[in-house]
Order: sequence, then C-alpha cells, then structure tokens
Amino acid sequence: MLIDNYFKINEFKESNSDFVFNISLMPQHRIYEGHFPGNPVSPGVCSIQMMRECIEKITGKSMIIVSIGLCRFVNVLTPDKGQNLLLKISPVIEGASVKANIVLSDNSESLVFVTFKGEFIEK
Amino acid sequence: MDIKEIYESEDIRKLLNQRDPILMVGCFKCLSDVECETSLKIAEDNVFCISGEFTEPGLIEHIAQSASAFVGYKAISFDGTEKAPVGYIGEVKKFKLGFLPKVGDTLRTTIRIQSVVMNITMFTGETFVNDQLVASCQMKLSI
Repeated sequence: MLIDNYFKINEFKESNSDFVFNISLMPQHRIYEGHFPGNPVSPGVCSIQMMRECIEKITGKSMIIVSIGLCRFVNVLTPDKGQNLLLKISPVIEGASVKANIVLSDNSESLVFVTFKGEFIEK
Repeated sequence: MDIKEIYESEDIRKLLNQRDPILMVGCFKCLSDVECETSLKIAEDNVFCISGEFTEPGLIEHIAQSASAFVGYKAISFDGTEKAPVGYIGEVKKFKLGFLPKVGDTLRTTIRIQSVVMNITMFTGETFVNDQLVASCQMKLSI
C-alpha cells in the first residue's frame, strides 16, 4: 500500500538478531494533501504501516497486526525530517507469529519518533 | 454558533482538520459529556484499503479521528472556538484486532473519554461492523 510511494527503503541489513532499514519519506505523497492542508505532518498510522511492510520484507509473507501492547509517538514526524530515517526491528519469530519491538528514529538514533511493541501474524 | 448533536457529510469538516484522502469519520454523534459515536462507510478507493480490506492503520486512524472530532465538537459547542484544534495521536495501547472489515462495510465506533489532563485526552475506542467487534484500544490524543 505505502511502499514505493509513501516511503522508500534505501538499505536493509541484519545485524545480530535485529533488522535495520534505512528509509526516506516521499513528500509528494497525496496523503499530505489532507494531513494537513498547507502543513504536511506524517500520519502516525503511516509509520505503523511502514513497520508492517518492513516486517513483511523480513518474513516474505503478507502480515497483519493483531495486537499492540504500546505504541508511543514521541516526536512529530514531517516529510522534511523523514529523509534519512532508521527503522530498527527486534523480532521474535515463532511459526506464523512475529512479536516485535520497533523503533523509528533519525539516522543517528538520537531523535526518536515512534516506539512500538506488538504482534503480527501471517495473513 | 448552533449546537448540533449530529454532524455528517460535509459538516464533519467543522470538527476535524483532516481532509481527503485521510478524512476517516463519516458521521459524528454526541451521546454524553464523555461518550460519542461515529461511523464510516468503507469506500473502495479508501487510502487504507488493500485488496478490498480496510487495514489496521486505517482502523487506528478512524478511532483517533473519532476522538479528535469529539474534542473538536466540545471546543466549538462549549468553548466558543471557531476552528477545531488539531489532534495528534500520542499513544496507542492495548490494541486488539478482531477482523479486517471489507469495502462496503460501515464501521460504528464508540469513544469513551477517561480523562483530560492539560492538553492530553485519554480514551477508549471500540469499533464494530454489525455486532461484531472489529478492534478496540486505548489512546492518548494530544491537542
């Protein structure tokens, strides 16, 4: 849904048991026409959708979010600030279930935008 | 300004700053000081639909905007504000998905406000299609 027009993955690597995606938001996406007119702010739920799509990249399967323990939107994200982001996923994969802690931050990991703890299952 | 209990179609824009393609509330009804009800019919071209199904981020956005519309309704009806304030999701907690609704389904959502502290509104939201629970969660909305 959002991949390749809301955001793009520049790099994807696995280190230890974590998966790290370097991503850029695309400021011309039509969602910004309505969120908000003249004041583009990246919708929090689109960050959640990016997480789902990155989990799908890891598993190679179509996934849905069945529960979220806690998801915090720590700082407001804009397409301007979203040119060089890191999405770091620490998953526990058990059969069709992926439980994951995910952090969306700037490239230096000093400015955190979203923290997420939840469960995905294969569709 | 007229105090209305039900807002629908174009009128909903008075309560929310979101516009197409991310306006996710179709109808708003105030039930009490702390409770409101909203609805949304899932259109085929809804930005949160994948292969005819309305996705989890769409459900979360719909629940958040339902509460944001309530905050907007109170500001306009009781505080004399002309323009509804912009609300941002601060936190989503205890989200549980029942099932993914389909294109053509109508979501019915109940919001119960638990507390308002400074500019943070804490609430619970439950979304149904017919009588089936689609999703529920707790949220914090910052104004």
